[in-house]
Amino acid sequence: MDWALAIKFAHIIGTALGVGGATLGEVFYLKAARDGKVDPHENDALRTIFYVLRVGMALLIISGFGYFIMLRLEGHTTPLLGARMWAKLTIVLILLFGVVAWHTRKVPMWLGSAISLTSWYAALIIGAWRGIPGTYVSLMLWYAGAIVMVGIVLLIIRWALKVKE
Amino acid sequence: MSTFTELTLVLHIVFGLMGVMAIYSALVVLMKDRPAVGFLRFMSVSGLLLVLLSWITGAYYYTTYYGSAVKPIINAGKFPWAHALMMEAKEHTFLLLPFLAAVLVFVVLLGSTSLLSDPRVRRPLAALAGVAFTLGTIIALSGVVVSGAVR
Repeated sequence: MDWALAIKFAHIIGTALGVGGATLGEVFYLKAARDGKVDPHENDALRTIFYVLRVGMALLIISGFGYFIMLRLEGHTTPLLGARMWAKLTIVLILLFGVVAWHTRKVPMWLGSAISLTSWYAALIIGAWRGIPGTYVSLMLWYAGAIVMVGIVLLIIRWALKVKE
Repeated sequence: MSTFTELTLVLHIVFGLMGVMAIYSALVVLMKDRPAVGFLRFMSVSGLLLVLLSWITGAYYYTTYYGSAVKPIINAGKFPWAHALMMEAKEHTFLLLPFLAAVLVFVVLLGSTSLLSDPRVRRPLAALAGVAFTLGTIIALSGVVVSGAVR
């Protein structure tokens, strides 16, 4: 197996763990928070999911920079200034700073969930969609719009399930 | 580019990335009410060592190859600002990072567990780690821009 293939596999696995972890984390959290308290068993499951998310994020970042090194050494530097690359970098940064904001309790839970879910799915879509049309600004506007939509949907789900936070 | 020069470039990127990730891990630990002090110490020391290694390999690459072979290509290309602005900012900001990481390491190694759990110590330390992480991120992204301008 050559480096290019190893980096591709790591990137795909990292994204899969992130998207899966974010989705399952939200489902488990909603299920756990319905009665207004998270019991030790539910807390254990959530901690495991957050651990998987961290592994996915680490794999995504390391393999992303693996791509960067490959492109630089092979002289294929055009994608490095492309909208797709910078949209993905921005989304990963938002995820990383989102974790810090979540720890400082500056972000309400539903908004943190909306940002996390949308960011992971956006990274997946932008990564998988080669030749995605649009400038950096238009991609980020779509992303911001998607966060608002997902936030509204999550608020409706929380209201319908009578989730107590 | 010789194999050794390629290796120094790759190591510069890898050490820098790992260093920034270690500092980020220290930051996240410091955000918790009861930080895991052993993990915090390991990540802080790793962050400092990796940033220093990135410093050394980056300096070697810059002085032996970048200035004579890469800079002229960027300056003659479509994005001369990538060197004039991004690389200049990157190389000067980069000077600060090991010192910020060193302050973090000294406090974390010399402070007791109870001291590091005290919010009056923990919060400023988290702010310090946050600044180091932000600067490290800016430096890494500047590197992507500079590399993208080599064409």
